[in-house]
Amino acid sequence: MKEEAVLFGEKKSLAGVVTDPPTTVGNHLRPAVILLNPGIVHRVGPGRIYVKIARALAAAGFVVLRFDFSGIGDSAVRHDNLQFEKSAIREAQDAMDFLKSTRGIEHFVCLGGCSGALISLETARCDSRAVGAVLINYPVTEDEDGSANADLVNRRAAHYYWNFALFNLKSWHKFFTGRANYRQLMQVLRLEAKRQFTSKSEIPREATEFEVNLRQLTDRGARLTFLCSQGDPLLDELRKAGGSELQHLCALGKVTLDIIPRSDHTFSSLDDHEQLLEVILKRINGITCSGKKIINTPQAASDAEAVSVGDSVGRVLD
Amino acid sequence: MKPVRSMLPLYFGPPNKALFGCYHEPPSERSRKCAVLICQPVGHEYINSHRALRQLAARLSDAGFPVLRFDYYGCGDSSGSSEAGRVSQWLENISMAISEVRYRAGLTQVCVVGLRFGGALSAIAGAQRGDIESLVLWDPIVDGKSYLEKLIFLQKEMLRFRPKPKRDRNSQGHIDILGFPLSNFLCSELEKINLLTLADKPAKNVLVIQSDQTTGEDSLNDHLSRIGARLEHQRLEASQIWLPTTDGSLLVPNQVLQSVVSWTSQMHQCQTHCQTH
Repeated sequence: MKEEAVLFGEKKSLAGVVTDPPTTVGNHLRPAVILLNPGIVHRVGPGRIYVKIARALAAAGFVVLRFDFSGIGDSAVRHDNLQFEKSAIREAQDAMDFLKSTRGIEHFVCLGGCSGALISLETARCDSRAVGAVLINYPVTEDEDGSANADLVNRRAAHYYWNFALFNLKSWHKFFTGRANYRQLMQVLRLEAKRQFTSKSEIPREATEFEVNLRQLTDRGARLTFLCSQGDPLLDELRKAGGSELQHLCALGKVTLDIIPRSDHTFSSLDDHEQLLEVILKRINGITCSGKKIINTPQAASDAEAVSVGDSVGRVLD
Repeated sequence: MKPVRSMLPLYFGPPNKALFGCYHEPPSERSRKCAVLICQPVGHEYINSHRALRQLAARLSDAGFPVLRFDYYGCGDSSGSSEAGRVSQWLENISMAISEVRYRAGLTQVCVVGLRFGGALSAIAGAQRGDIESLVLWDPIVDGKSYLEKLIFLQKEMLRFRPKPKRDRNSQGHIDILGFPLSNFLCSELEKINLLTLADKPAKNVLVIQSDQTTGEDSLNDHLSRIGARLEHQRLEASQIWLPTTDGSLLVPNQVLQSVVSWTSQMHQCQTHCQTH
């Protein structure tokens, strides 16, 4: 495997690293994988996870480019006042152009965590060269300015209480010995009651758009994989926003939802890394391309309905 | 669009142990006879401080210094797995990076800026080599043992707010610190590090910047003076940028960066038409 530091884009201002597989023969027949910044963390990713992903995929025969969007990491700031949501898509396309001109690759899989997942999906929507997207902890509920919702802290706390604290003896001990955060508990209960009440009457606009986007992309033949941390509240949001459309597409094997057990939003443990790598390799290996037509392998379709991460308890839309 | 300032990402060193670096070229109208090497922290501290150190490199380069930032072996974009990190290897990497920046800049004088564990490593490397002109120690790790204890504490704190991982990493020859493996060997190396035992001065001129009040600055300052370094100490109110933030933001402490640039510029005067910023 070989790694090369590169500068590309209109002004040669985007910094990145290309990881090439050990053999150079036939690499252009597989899609290249482009890793997009998770939030404002530079292309190495939290816990160096993007480096691990790039090297594991390269060892499996994929060309991988990890790079920084303008103003993040080592890439220079743009001076054209283009909004990040637009410039990031354009820069992801610059990355495709670069790999086409230097490696002859014409098809791509975009992979990103958090806001990188948003940009991955949008890039796939805008550019048919993207034959797939791997979307890690896709933030359905992000505001227009990219920041999290104001009640995110409470939603995270709610997720923690329902999924972990409820089954934890220490948490109950804290609750009965006066050491729990009762104020937050009350806020969470209030929030949950409000959400239960409003969810029956309101369908958020974003959710509708999200469903339409999923349908359009899968109709085009793009393969989408959502990877979610079990310990992340965004999972619940994704299920709600995806609704029946997401369930339907998962059942058809066009979209996959993998849940990484016992992991958190940034995959902050080495166990999380191992599980994440395993699923990414499996999913990207399932995306192949022949000319412009994407082949959804029978294995990939069946995997969408029966996910397991090693011997762990991965689930699909349960 | 304005022209993009010259920054070159590159790999250097032996191909099987290539190191990633970013070389910041100064504007041609300003030139100083000293190159700067930035030694980054390791682990999660490296991730959290990357943004600030990139900006520091840009400011130093603006002030006329050729600057090289680089990742140690097994860190960042450099080759090697994260488990492979060794103090002895990282000290060699610093020497390799010094050669690289000297070669690229065509200069022999080198100033090293080290943050946290990068500070400890650059002080040790400087004392071993004896050819570092000036050294900035930004909140350096003075005692490796207490640093290790704090890392383990941080990991325990983090586990309070997330599901506990399934496997016990300690049985696999390393511990997990916020997603970075710390091998048992590296732990034992860390425990032996103590800047108060440096026998030789790490550089002719040393600036110690302290924003973390818990690192025993007085004893370090006394020791550096005792072994013959010309020392300046600055206590600054600044965020501890290497620590994880609750909202995931990456902080850039303007005052600290300003101090580093200002002190380095004073130590290494401009050759031509240089303006201070």
